[in-house]
Amino acid sequence: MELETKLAILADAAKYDASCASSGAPKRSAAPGKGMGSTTGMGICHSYTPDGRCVSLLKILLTNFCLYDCLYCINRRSSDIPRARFSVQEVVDLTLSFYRRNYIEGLFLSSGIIRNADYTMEQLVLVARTLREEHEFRGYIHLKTIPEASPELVEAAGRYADRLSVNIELPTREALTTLAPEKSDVSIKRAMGEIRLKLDEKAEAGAKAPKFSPAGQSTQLIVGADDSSDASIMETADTLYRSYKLRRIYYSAFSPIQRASVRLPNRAPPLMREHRLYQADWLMRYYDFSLSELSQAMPGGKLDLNVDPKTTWALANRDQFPVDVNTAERHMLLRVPGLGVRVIDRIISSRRHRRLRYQDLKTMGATLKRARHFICTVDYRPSQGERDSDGLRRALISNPQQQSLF
Amino acid sequence: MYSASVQQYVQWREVARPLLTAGIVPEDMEWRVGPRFEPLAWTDPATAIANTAPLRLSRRLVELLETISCFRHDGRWDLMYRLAWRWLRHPHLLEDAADPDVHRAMQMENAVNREVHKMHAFVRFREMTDEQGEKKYFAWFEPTHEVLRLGAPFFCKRFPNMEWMIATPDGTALWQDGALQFIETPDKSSLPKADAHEGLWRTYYRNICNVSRINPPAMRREMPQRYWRNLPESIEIQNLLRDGQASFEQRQREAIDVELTKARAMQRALADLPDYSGGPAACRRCDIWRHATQAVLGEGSNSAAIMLVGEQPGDEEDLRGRPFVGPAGRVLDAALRDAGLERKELYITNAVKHFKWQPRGKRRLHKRPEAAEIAACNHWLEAEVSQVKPRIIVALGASALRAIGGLTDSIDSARQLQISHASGAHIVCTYHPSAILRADAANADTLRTHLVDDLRRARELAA
Repeated sequence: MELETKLAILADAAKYDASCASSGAPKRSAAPGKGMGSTTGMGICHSYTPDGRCVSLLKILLTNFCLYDCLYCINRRSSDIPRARFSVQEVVDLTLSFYRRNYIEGLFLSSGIIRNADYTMEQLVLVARTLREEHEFRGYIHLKTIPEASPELVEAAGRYADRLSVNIELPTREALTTLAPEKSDVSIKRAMGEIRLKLDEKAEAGAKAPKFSPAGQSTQLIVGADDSSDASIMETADTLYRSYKLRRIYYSAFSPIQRASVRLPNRAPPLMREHRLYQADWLMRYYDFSLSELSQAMPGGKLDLNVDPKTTWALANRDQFPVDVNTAERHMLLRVPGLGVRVIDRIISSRRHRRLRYQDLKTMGATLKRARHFICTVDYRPSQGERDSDGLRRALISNPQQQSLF
Repeated sequence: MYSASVQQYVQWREVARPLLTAGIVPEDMEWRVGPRFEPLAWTDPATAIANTAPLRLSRRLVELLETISCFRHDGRWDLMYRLAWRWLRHPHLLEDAADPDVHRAMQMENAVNREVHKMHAFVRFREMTDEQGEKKYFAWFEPTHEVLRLGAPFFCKRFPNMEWMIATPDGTALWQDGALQFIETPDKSSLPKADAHEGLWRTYYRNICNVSRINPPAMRREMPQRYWRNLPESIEIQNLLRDGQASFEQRQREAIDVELTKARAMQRALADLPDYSGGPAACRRCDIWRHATQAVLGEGSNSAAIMLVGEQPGDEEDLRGRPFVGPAGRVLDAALRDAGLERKELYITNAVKHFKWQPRGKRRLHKRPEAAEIAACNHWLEAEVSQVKPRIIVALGASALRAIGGLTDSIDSARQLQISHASGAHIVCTYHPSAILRADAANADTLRTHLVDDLRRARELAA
């Protein structure tokens, strides 16, 4: 089979994995006479596809042959898609030649399970080791970890990779049992736990210990393939963040796949729901929202598709508003709809020098369309009692339908 | 009054230093716009100032000034001077994000930093082997701001062992023997035009895109169109958007269908549609394609009860790639409205998919397709009929009637006939909207009334 055909098949097979991040790696660069590649810590998106997603890494499967038959997966055993397999050398060469032309930041390699977990993991590690040792490749490497692979292989993977990930895929055990009968949530969580332990060991041992996945681990949750509620998804997310010290969770709206199982929904991926889940996730991670606060943003366990979760929370807690931007503490500013972390930093820095006026907030980049209902400044106060929360909610709906795609 | 013209940060510093030391207010300094460096000059010899020792400015301010000096706008030098002058009097100036000068400077800084980041992302090297067999890498990049000097060092760290060149309209960075130099931009035609790996890269790009979740605004936000012409993968964007549209429409159709199994069967049938739509585009069954821009395919609902067939795309249709969007399209739209039909619920296509024309002055004048050309294109029309399975086919004009009904009758007489298509669809025959455009005023009204009546009849038959 020609290389180009393989690439087409094995890129297509990899695209349902949302992660393409190249961030979090330590700063490093190549030296004169030695190697190629660098990482900046921030990550770079080298291109964008019409689905709005970034192309940062060469994201491919080593092979899309798979022993498992997970219903949501395009590569499942019973799916009649074309199959292909790269040799280790082909992946190495492709990575290097794409990298040299500045198409990519590095490699994200995953694989269907062939023979057994250890054999598959061994192949992935071999690619990473060849890149690092034979070619002194300093770019980014993200490896998928195969649950139930032996600890030695996971350790080796962590030595060469910047990031490891195991996908939990479905938010509940029930869903996993129904849709991925051969996988067990226990083995997936065990794999994440093992990575967590090794990350901890490395953190304790300090700089002298061998490297282990410096950009940590991530996972992916498919949204909309089963009927889990947003509340149960956020609960799972909270558990995962806490248990396995994940850098991040990717929420991936389930895309109808070719010749899907009849047990799966055949409809457009729920993109707005995915977007709201990311917002809720952000509130947890960067805005100090606790899970119980977040549950106030999900009445009936559901995120409001028309209004962002922070606004929903604020509407449920109107007694805490308006917030005076000239005096409020950071914790409270973080709860104001329309004020992001960066704007809040500017507010706190700027208000040491002046009493902030309404216009100043606009200059600093606040989204006043939302914020104005919840703040007061030297020269501004929202008129009290003009609207109840329901009326305000309706007024704040900018886009009353699911995000339009065209 | 003082004046100078500067093009680079170091020149600005040389001019600004004595001015700042002498405490010259920003209003007294004119930063002229010009292509060459003109040192500091003054109108009144009595106010002459001498060069002085370096000033102490905060590191953060210097970094900000250096960055915004790359912002491609004539006002930058004046803003930089104002910031430095004000900072000397208010050392906390930069903490006040609400100050208009600080705010503007931060905006410019963000824009320049973003452009540096985009340079790191969107530079594409092409490999060339020289006479000695050494591999060299060339890129052509067109930055919005003057960021070559800020952006180039990144590549030194990443590719220290490659020989590379990044050429831009403002100058060129060259990395050779472990040293970075900035040189005059060579003739663009001396740079390689292609690279053997671009085909593989495009294959990757095409296949990593999930067309079931197409979102062009998100793509354009991060990868604005001005970068596309230097990105080899951008050739694929239009095709992917088309596939995305097909997938979107397909799902809309499926959403209506309640029975899952039925939807499945339909999905399989429709999965062939993109392939088919690539068909007429590459069709060479007759010669019309040679002079047309593109094949204009049918559009509308793929489960429409009513299919409208015209003759062939016109001048505007040929350019836009969509049927009935020119003057005749506007007549048709008005008639549809009067007949109570919604365009988006119909499927609209033409008997012939390419625009056949003859030159007339500077314009392209429609030319009626020959019977053989209509016959050659019939393959595609029949494929559309079997995809959409309309219950009513409206033939607009004689060419459409010939294509869909095989008849050569005039429209006047064919309107009286009861005819149907091989698929069982009822054929309603009427005038082509462009006949109304060509007719004189009195006749035009009659024809328009007939057209609306016939469309209304089609609607009633479909109900």
